Amino acid sequence: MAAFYGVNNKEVVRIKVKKCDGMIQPEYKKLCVDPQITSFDMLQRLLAKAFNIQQDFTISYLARDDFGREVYLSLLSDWDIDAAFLSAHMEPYLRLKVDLKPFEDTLEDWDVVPTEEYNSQTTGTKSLSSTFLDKSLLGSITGTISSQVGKTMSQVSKAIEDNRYGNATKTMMTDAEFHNFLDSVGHLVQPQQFRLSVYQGGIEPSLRKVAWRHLLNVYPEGFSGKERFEYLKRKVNEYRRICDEWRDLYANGEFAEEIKVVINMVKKDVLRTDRLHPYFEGSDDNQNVISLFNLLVTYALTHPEVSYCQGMSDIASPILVVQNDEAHAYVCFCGIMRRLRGNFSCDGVAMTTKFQHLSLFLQHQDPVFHAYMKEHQADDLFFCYRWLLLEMKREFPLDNAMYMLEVMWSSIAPDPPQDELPLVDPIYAECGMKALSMASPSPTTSVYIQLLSQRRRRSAPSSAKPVATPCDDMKTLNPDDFVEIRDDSTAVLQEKSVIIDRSLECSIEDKTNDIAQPLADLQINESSAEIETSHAQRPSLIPVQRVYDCDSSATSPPSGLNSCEEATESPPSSIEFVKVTEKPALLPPPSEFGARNPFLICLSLALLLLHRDHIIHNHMDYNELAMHFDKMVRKQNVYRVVQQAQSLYGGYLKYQQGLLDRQGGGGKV
Amino acid sequence: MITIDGKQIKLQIWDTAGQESFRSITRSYYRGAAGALLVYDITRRDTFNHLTTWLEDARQHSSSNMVIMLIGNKSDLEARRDVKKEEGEAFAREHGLVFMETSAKTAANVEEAFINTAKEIYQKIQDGVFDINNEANGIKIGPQHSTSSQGLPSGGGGATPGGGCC
Repeated sequence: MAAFYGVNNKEVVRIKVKKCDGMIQPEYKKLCVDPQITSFDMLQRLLAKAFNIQQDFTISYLARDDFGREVYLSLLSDWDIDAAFLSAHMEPYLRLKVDLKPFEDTLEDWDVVPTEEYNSQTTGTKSLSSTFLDKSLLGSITGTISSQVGKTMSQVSKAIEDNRYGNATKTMMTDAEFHNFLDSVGHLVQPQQFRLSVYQGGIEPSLRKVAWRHLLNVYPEGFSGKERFEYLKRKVNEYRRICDEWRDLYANGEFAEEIKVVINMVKKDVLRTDRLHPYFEGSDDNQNVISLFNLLVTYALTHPEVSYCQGMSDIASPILVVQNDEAHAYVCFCGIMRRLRGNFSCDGVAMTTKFQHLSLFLQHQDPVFHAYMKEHQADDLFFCYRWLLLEMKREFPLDNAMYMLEVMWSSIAPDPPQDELPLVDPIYAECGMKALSMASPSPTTSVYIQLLSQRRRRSAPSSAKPVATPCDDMKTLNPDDFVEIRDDSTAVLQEKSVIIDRSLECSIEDKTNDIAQPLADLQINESSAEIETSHAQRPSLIPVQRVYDCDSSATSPPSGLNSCEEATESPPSSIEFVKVTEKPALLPPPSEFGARNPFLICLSLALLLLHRDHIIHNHMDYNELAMHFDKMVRKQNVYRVVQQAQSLYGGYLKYQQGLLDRQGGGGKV
Repeated sequence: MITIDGKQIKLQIWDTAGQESFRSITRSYYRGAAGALLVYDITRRDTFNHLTTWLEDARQHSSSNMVIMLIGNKSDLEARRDVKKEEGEAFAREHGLVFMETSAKTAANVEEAFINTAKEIYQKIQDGVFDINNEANGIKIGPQHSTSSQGLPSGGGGATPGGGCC
């Protein structure tokens, strides 16, 4: 035990196990294992033998949460074993609990399921033992990765190549791994590898607090650890000052009516944002709920051109949970809003672009499904509004959404602030909080209120610019549109994003070989049943594992039309035989796709495709589609969706590469 | 699911967002809607003042036959009333709407508001105003020949039951 602190070098881990079986007195045992060779499979067998267990059981380990409290986390895979060993490396024992009652798989509300338990969720109805078999196979691959973390990226890609199952990419980024991307004084010297690693496996919950600040572009480039610390401290003080300013006015009732309306709007939303999550649950004076309120009001009042808009509370909520500090969360929120404020803008340009790109991508990827949507006048995809507005946050249980968010953020090119991240808009910086006060010397209305009413006027139907109406469709979109709107700054950004995308591309190339056909190819896909059963076989156009098992009748014309419903319209299956002649426009480059977030479009399409067969099979119309997805709020399976989105993203990058090559632009950079 | 005239009618109700930024998406809900509830807050005059804009928007983006109800919500807050009942009635008369005051808090008149909307739609079907074979009208005949109507967006300044932004 010479190298006691290096978990990988530790030869022996002592384990204390507590066996619980309902009301029966718990049983204790001690054992020792070699962390280098102990797989989840082995541990399971070991424990079964030690306690002579004949039935299914679950294992959890004792760890400490952010508040230093002891919590039992589920141990379900080799990944978890690594995490368990790591968490106990300073303790005399790793404390395990064996529970003879298997995990609940009928949880009512996904909101309260902690991340650590996702494995039990993803297994669904599969028997526990068969899941373990899969996991141990995957685990042997991921185990290899974790012991070599940070050495070379090629080894990671190699592991992915070896991994035919395709659903385990890499373990979550740990603190130890993160430190490999920093130099001795804490400069983030390998920003691309950092992002790549997040992209491939997400971030361990305890590391999120720190890592998210990098992903959310809080820090200017080139800061050392000490500089980051001081910078953040300054920003925190700045926030406290601004926040106190309005709170004083608020307490004294000195706000103009318009400002009160904004504050009430925030209050209404905050009181119903993620309240089933342990962080926000309980009474309305939960301090975390108040923090969310303070943060959002501060932002609204200091950014009069954006103000507050429904949905922002959803953007801020996971950030606050992770930062667990109002001021830190505010700084991160300002970071993300630099990119997202367009979503909430009255002109609707950003949202319209996203809709158009999603529709276009659907047309490229699955012309049959696109034709189905068109037939049901759903090709505007407006039922996906929430997905695009909140970047999918509300589709998954909150803890799972965090993983999705970090993977998505890691795919976006870094955009660090020039000198420092502004916490207020310039207009506010000029006028200050006085502008908000009723006692404002201005004889008419304050600047803020003027801006508010400007917002309103811009959105009035008479003067509004026509945004996407249902009849606006992709025909009007032409590839030239995508190159026109590029100024210098976006060109730089594009350059950057191409670089990062390349690095992602290289490492996921092997994985994307699974997408047999290039995206541009239009081809009617085969029945999904085949794809589901044989992983080894090369899948057809869309390698989607559908949520719903559909038998072949889904793709053959339904027998016996008896309801009046179908009499008025041709059965959707007939579109299988419609020749898709319309050649869709080119997909825009990464700097523009999805209004600079291509991965969001991939996530959205992944979610659509996962439900595709169910939708077609049930002949869902526009309203039914919208209701179907509304019912699935916070219930989607994040791992399936992210995995599918990564496949799509890989394909998209290859497609872009193909375009560049064809243009004769000189190939790879 | 409600029953009118011995016929089972299934209402499909959408709660649309009231904030300006969501205008574009709200418009998409008008399409294929047979009826709409335009809701304002009787304790806040500005929500009443915005009705014209909302009505314009609704009329512009929906079928001309769409039934529109005008609802003054929060009738439980009589003490804080800012818009007189007569004003609501006058506005409704002027624009050809059906008017009611409701309280989502005490549930007063809430069911009636939806039932009355459905009745109006049903009447229009009886009168042959709506072509039931055209789904663009938001009406779909269900199995066993019962009538079902869908798409009743409610919008405007007031709080509508349900909530949720988008």
